Amino acid sequence: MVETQVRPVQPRPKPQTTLPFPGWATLRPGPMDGLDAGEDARLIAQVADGQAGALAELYRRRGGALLRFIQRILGDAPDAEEILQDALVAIWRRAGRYDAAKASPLGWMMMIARGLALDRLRQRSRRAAGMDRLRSAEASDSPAADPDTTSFGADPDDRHHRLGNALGSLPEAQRRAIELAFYRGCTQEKIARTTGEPLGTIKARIRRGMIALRLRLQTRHD
Amino acid sequence: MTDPNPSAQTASEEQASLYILDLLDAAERQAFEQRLRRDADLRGLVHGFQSALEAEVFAEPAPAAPARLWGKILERTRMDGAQVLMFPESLRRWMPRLAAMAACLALGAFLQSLSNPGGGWTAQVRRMTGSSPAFPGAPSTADRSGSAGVVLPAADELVPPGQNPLGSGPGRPAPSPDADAPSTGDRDEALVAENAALQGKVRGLTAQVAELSQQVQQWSLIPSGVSRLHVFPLGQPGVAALIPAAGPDGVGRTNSLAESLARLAGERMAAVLGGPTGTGSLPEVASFRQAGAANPPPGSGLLAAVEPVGKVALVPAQPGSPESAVASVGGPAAGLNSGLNSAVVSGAVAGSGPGLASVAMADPSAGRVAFTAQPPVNPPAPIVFSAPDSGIHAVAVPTAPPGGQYQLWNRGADGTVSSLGVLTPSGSPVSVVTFERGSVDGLFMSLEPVGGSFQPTGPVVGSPQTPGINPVLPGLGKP
Repeated sequence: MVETQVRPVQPRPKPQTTLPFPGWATLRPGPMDGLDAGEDARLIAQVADGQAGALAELYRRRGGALLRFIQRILGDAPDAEEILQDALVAIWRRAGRYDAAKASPLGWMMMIARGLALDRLRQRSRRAAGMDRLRSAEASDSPAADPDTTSFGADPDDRHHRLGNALGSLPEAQRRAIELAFYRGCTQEKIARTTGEPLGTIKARIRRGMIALRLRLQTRHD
Repeated sequence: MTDPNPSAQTASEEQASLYILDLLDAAERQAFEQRLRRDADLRGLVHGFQSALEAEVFAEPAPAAPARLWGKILERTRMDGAQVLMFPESLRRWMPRLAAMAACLALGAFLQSLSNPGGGWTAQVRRMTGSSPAFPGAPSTADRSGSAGVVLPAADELVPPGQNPLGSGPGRPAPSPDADAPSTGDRDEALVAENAALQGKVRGLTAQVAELSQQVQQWSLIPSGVSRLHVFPLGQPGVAALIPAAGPDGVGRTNSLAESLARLAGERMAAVLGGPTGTGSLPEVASFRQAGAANPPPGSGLLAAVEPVGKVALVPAQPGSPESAVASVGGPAAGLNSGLNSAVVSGAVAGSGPGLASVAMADPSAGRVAFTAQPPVNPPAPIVFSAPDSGIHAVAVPTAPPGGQYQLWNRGADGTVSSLGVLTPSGSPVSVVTFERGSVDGLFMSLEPVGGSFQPTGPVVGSPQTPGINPVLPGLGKP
């Protein structure tokens, strides 16, 4: 056996969370405050350089949160995992164009994932709407439901399960408005239509909801 | 920060919240972004809302990312990366496009000839030569360009306006509806002649495409030291690496120090491998150090062939924990590595392709997997060329034997060894890697099985007879 000139590796401290895949079991645990983005910015720069190891580290740090986010949009389907892969690959491809001055790394990744997830959601809706129209054309005169907000959200249990704690602290009206905007990609008009409220009310709710979310963030740090 | 005018503040908050949720239409968004540029308070508002949304997604502790997806992600990124680098940074983005454009032009030209035999090329030829192709020398009867002798390529869908990457290559001419049609007998002759002209053009285009491909090949032969330097994460950017283009030594048309060194190292190693007696050992480095120059000594017998470098692809390998589970990668292939000197040999590794390690890493039940391959017997020592003042070093090694791959490691200050990646084989007998001094002081290379290892298990590149000297960057760091 050839002897290497390398000293043996010191054993690393056991991590606080067990990660299921090999080679990563001894990595230091993730940031205590999940919002520490300096490391992410550095990793994205490395990904732009073509380092797959940095992408792996990004995946380890943020993949779970991104998956949860995508699941909030799409539900538990295997779609969500597929979109997560797409999002990572998109991050890989677009890392060269990321500008730290213009966007925060977390926001950038989040918007990439959101864009892909909403595209898939719309694709699903179109298909579902097509099927509904087909069925209703064949069966009766009942108008096809609006799939965006009914197929995947009318059932309160499903919504609760899908959204989990998202926007949890907000009053229901504000929560609904922001949920439709952020997790559904609805336009203002559609939100107004869905909730049955006038446009002005919707804007006010969104404003108040965002202020509340911001306040929640600030009090976290205190 | 309370605005003295509360309703203006409210309006700003409303706009900012709509903006952040992507609820503004295009015109509103543009107007808002213009305001953003001027108004720092508004930017702060938007930033606050943005952070709130990020907290919404990222603040709460999330479950771990699923391991089984990582293998697929890695594969997809590898498919991307495989197309990218053998070219210098500036050119690699354009080469595929140029080649594609050239191919499209050739195809377009040919299709054009099929679909529009009466006009099109005929008119073009007429404009170029000032005469009809069927009656060479006769004055053009359809010279409508008004500028005799000047060929203005018509707007070409295949080539962006204003660009013609093939230089004087013909654009696709607009079909000329009033190209006169000669009488029937003459028409046959005209068609035949036109066909011949078209074939000539297609041949010309094909030749240009071939030349482009060759240039692509040639560029790939130049070790793109510049892009290589970007690979290492801890490198010092901005090393003064530019030297004047090819000097009197005729080394080549490289214009960067790293590339020149890489070329030299590659040539020397090629000489070592090809020559009857190999002398590429460390003293060579010393002599260059003393000379302090990047030029090869006269009479060094440089070979014409220059050996390319493969792109260094990173494998997310990390040192495994001492207590490892048994790996299971289908069959008796994997083994347990509990120390650096274990001799687990996998008969399936040799020639099994580069995916085995990544497959193993994606397997959630695997603890730590290591493979070893038969090391080559007496590999020539690496040849290092360095420009010590600039801190750039080029290291040439014979390309790994089948079943093996070089892997780069960094030994950190605390003694832990981490992987920097594997050297993608370039198909040539020599591989050259350039390093920046100070980027990684504990750098060394070892020969691992294809796909890399979690820990250095194979022979470390360099002279095993000189412990204490970093075999890759002698004198610069401890192994």
